[in-house]
Amino acid sequence: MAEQIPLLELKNLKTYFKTDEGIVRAVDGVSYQVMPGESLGVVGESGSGKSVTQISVLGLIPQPPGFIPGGEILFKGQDLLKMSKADLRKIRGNRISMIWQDPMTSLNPFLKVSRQLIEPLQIHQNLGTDDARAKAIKMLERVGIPAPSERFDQYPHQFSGGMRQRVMIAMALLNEPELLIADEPTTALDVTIQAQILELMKDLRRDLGTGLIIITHDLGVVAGMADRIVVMYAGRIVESAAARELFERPAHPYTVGLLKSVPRLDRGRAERLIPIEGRPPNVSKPIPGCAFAPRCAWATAQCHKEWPPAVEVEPGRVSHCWRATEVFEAELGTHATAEKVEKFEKQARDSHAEPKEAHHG
Amino acid sequence: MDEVLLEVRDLKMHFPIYRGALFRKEVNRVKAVDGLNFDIIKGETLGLVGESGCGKSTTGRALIQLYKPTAGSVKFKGQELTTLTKRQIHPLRRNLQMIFQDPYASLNPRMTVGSIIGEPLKVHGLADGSNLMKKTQDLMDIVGLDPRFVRRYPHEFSGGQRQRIGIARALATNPDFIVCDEPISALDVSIQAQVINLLEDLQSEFDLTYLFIAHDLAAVRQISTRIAVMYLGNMVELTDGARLYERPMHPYTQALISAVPIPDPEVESTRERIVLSGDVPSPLHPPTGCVFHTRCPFAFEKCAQEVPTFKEAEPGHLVACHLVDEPKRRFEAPNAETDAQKRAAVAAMRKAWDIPAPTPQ
Repeated sequence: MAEQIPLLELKNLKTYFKTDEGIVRAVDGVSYQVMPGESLGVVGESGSGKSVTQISVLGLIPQPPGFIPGGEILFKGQDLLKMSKADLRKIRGNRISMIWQDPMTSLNPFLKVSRQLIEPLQIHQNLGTDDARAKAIKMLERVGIPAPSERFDQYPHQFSGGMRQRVMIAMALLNEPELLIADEPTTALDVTIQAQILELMKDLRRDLGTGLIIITHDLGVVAGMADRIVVMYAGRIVESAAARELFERPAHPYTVGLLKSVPRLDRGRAERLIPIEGRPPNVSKPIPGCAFAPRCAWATAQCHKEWPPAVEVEPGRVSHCWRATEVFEAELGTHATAEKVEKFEKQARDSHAEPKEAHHG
Repeated sequence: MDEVLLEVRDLKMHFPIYRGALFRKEVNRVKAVDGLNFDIIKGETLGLVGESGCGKSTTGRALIQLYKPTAGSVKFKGQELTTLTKRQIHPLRRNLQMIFQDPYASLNPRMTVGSIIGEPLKVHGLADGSNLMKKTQDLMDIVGLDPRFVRRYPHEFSGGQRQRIGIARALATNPDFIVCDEPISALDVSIQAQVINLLEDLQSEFDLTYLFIAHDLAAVRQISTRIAVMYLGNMVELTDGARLYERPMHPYTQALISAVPIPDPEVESTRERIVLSGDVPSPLHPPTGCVFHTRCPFAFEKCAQEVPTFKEAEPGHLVACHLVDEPKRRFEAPNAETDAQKRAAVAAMRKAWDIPAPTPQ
């Protein structure tokens, strides 16, 4: 069987920013693949580099202060980093498009919605005004805006938050992109509106076969939307797996921590939540070992010194953790009780209470 | 017998809209809160959920008289608060405190942490001189902040730590009642659990009563004894946490709960979601009758005409819905957009009223 070419492949991408306090390693060696039609969830907390990674893909990192010291961004085998600005412009907004987090600030308040929707069609498809108008109105209808021809010539402020996000989605899909990048598409929305937008995105993806990268901090959103998930922490991917497997059997202590710290509506009130102690690190200083080690129950002396290599705990499942196999085998996913997780974390902590000689070889 | 700490009757909070400079005339009013009746029991956490603009924060503020309510009564330990003058209310304020949503905006950046936490002690004459410093540092210790940082400024702390500063300030006067207005919304996932646990610990240690306002239903369920659901200035349902999730009776609560994504792909793949159509109407022109009728899958003629009373559908379970008196209409959802939507809506109703689905022949 011929190997399919990934729609998007990142190889060891690095995006740094020069600041007064030194070089911020916002993205520090990220690699992943998105196959055609697949949806990839990128999960992480603020400052984990999940958005900067995707903005780099679109070539929208302000340079300076940003710079990309290394890596490749392959869109269907072509390196976007080596492409001329003109060529990149032909791809961006056309074959790759983006839905931004905040529908309040990402539409131009001075321009009618019609103008903002027609523009991408005129630029990328050379359509005349009438054709573009007809196509744009059709798309507004498709994303569920009532009375689209009447609303077409209104300004963004005349739309509610949910409706504005629909306009954004319509705009992103006008040119039938192969890849859609959605950065926290529902974070600014209320939960019933979020449900509407997520259902819409699922429908459209089913109909159009678009590849999707969805960036979010909400584990519930990726659980319903993503085929595969990468978990980011301090500018690096710590774990990647198929969505179900990640939730069922995480192989990184940070993933375990995330799953356990979030209360679940469909379960009874937990006796107590298990938080991840401490707080995310400052990425403006180089971190020699694993960035999560200071907060990790499983951390050994080695973890503080050396960034762990990719451990393949199962075919297609990678975790960057010195103790990945142990964590994986403990089965600390959604089915594990809080007591079980605490027991294993205690054992893990005790097992290296006395500093042992790190094992080499 | 449960002791009622706060008794709220017919509470209304309207914000008038004026037009004209010289002859200012009220042209309309935003009915942010429009007639609430509920009690808060001593020692409980009452969760207050709803979407943005439903009036939950306004309710919190009106309870502790940060706003002067338009109408209605709020009694604290039997004492009427709404008729008190500013001077009369001042000594009571030490018993009624608030934790704010945004830990960045709610702390004065020019004040040290010590003076922020110590200020309520000074204002209420509870401590001065060296005693003040000691008490302030004790409070910092209680909320998990290093007392040595007493002379630092808010910008030197992370979001989670700032929220701890806000909590320490609220605790300073040893209050009976604290309104927690979205205290975790601005925090990272891994930090939210820390703050929830802290609030729970403080509650049992200092015998506190909370009104916990949030839009995150899972977090509210974790911390609350009872939960109240608001929609467009009205309370639509109020019962204990487990029951509200197991058997929500109001169609809005049902939709709200079904809209919350569950962080588990297995669960997500089989869920039938009730997706509400449209947006929340404007509180300037709320719909007649039941305010939810414009989006309700079950609405019938009466709903547009008559305001449903907020009453017990079963002991300890208050609901404002005409379906309580119309058992037959619980299984017709004439306004559902699709058949799938109809099925989901009726299934939720069956579960709420504990009526088995008819077995197919």
